[in-house]
Amino acid sequence: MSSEVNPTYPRASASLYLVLSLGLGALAFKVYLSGYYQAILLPTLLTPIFIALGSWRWHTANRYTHDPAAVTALLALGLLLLFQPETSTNITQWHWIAFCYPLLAFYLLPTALSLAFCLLLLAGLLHLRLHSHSIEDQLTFSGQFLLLMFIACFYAISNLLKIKQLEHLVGLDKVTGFFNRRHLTQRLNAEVSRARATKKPLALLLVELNQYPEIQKELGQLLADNFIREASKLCKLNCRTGDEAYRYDEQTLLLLIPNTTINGALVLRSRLYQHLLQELTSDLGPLDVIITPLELQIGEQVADLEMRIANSCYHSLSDRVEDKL
Amino acid sequence: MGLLVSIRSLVWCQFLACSFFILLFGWHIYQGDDLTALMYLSGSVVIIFTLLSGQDPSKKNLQLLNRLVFAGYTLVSLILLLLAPQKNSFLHLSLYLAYPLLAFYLLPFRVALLFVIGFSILANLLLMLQLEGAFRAIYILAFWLVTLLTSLNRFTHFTRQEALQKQLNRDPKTQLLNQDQLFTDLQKEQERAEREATCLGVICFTSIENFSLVEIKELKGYFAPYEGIYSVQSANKLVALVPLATPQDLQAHKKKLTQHLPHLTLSFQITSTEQSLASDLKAFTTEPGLAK
Repeated sequence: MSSEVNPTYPRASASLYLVLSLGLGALAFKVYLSGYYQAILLPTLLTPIFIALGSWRWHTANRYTHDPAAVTALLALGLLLLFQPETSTNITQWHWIAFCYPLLAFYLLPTALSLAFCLLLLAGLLHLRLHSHSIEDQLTFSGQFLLLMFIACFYAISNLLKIKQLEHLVGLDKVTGFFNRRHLTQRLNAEVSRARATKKPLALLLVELNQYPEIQKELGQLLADNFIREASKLCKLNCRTGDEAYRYDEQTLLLLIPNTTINGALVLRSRLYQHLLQELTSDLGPLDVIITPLELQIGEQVADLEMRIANSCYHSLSDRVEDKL
Repeated sequence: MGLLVSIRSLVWCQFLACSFFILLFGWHIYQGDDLTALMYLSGSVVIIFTLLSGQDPSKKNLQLLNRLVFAGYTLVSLILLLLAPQKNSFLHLSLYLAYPLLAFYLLPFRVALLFVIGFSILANLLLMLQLEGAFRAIYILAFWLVTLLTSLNRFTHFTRQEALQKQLNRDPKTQLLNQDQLFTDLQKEQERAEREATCLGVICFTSIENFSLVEIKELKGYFAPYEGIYSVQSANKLVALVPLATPQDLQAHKKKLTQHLPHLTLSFQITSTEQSLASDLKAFTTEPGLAK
């Protein structure tokens, strides 16, 4: 669910790209002023690339395991470190910038790919920049580089793992305050077993808000969140004591109503539908909502019920048909 | 620790970092540069200590020792900066770039931030005195860039973790539902029992030692999936909410549990009035435990 899982910090990465573009711009300007025109190509070429990456990340969050913006940035910086002509007689300044590379790599892309980038850069630096230095210098440089790389790798990936572990344990959706889908799986197991033990019925209501994706696309995430928050408040108002509310997916809410038959669920459905029509307003025209009642069948297993819930969502019908085809 | 677990917990990364600290320590000893070697040695001590002690926030003494070890490392680094003679190679200075990373990993966020700010200011003053020319400008720029980058990175992770902690309804250690969820569910289950004309039983478990994951797994075996077990503030206490058809059903639970779990102190209650039970449970979760 995108609303609850947003592990990246697009603005922070975007700021970093913009700062790097400023640095590269300053380097290009310095090279221009000093009249060393051989060294102007790479910084001049890379400055707009970093500005573009910054703007891209500012507006759009990453949705991939290996962020393409980060991969591009690391490749570009690697090229600069390897091929930018020397502006002074020694290579000291490249030492320092190269030492910053592993830290930057693991901040931007905390995956094994960064490890590969860093090792490739080290090999490249030893081959292209440090080949004229003594073996002792090369060993010391490699030792320092690898030390920094492993500390950065450990720091960045352990931070990421901590967050993943917490995300895995979170049972609440932050927008609606309802339980999330992960918690639903555990609770369904409990409620089905309780319904069997007490021989009482168990019903569910699936509330699909079909305008949510459109609002999200046309009016932005903030208004889409407000829309689903208002809907969730109305659902909560219509719930009885002991009923539980879940955010099933981005646009679907689910009400778990124990000790209720399908007829009871139909009564609740019609009451909820009226309330939603009267009180929930959408900026994109009349409200488009589908409420599907479901009841636990005799002898039905939890996995089957979960499958039936998934198959009852109308908004994913086209995807399911495509999958089957 | 199994290979897969150590890979997942990044122990291999700590081992490699520690190996490089020791390798560079040996290298500088070989070259007769004792001061720089001392800094690498203190770095390896910091990592070894982290490897051995872990990061359990409940161990106050270890936390204090952790801070002392790190303060020692900081002191050695600053002394080296103060006394370092002009060297041909300034490669050892790269270790200062790793300082914020080590601080933010080893220490809690606010303490680490204090260490990083203090170290950055002092190191900056010393670097101004010790280095010169364009190299000084480049190094100080790199140093501040890395410090700022690390602090911002840690801050974003810290705020994200704080936000997630607020959303948690499970205890990260035991994976059981937590105390907040207990009180939410208690109220819900009481209301449900009233509506369905049934009862709600509450069982409190107290152990001499803290509950281990194996014990929790064993305990879960005595309960149905709809009978919730909850972690509370004290690690040696657990609470179970048991929906019952009649008050007599609790006796069956009592008999089974006292027979199979003689090492635990158990208390059984049937809900009467909402207020008194919630306050009883609050007292149970906060009163000092027997655990070490």
